Amino acid sequence: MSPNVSALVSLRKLLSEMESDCGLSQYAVGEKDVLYAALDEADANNTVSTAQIQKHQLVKNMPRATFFRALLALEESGKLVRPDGTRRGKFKVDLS
Amino acid sequence: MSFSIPTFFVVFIAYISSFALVSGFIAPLQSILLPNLSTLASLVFLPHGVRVLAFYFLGWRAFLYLLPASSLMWAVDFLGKGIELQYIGVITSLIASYLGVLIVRRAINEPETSYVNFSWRHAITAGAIGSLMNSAFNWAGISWLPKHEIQPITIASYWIGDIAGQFVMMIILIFTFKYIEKASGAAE
Repeated sequence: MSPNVSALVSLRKLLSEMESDCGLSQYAVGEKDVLYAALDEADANNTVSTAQIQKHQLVKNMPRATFFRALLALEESGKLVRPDGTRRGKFKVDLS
Repeated sequence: MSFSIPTFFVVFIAYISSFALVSGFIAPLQSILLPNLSTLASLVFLPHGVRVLAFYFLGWRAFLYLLPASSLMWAVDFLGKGIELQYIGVITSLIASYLGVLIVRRAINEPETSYVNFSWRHAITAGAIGSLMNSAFNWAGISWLPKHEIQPITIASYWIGDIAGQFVMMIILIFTFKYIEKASGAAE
């Protein structure tokens, strides 16, 4: 990585940390939209499929890489949980 | 790190834009809200944030990147608006910002080419120390303030303005990055 790129990445990291510490954003770019889309599409049991989320107005124009990165981050943070016994691509939305 | 023309333009535009925001928006608002405060002391001086971040990320080379924009803004104020400002202030404010960053880097044992341990709090601390140094230069009379403006209230306003300005500048940067990311995401 060139020194200029490395400095830019560090600046972004520093600002992300500040953003999170100051409560300016709880989620990274894209995560909020994916979470809203999941909430909007979820059924009575709070269950939603990846395909349903992808079709939602908020995320349908989102690049695939950004979408799946956001999905993975939400899964890691426990906001989207794969319920046991369900097929892949199904999530339960958990905001508790 | 060699001299980079794109980096020069980024720093130049950031400094000029932040100065323009202060002159065109913050200063008029301040003169309405706090008419008794000297017009030379901005309570939200955004360019201080640009100076500190430039010295942190570019090291001593930031002098080369910042000097043209700082000199131009001095010329606009001094020659353009007829405000009495000493040119030495351009140099001392840069030296003060560099010293602020250097002191914090030494305190956390981070060499000039590393960015690992530096957090936004360190950046604000560096800015505060740099501004304190600038105040010291002000007291010593080696700043851009004319002698009759060297008063405790003006110098305190400078200090508050530098720290508040740096904080606001970093918040502006957060939203600038967010906007760029959103715009580039939509373009993909």
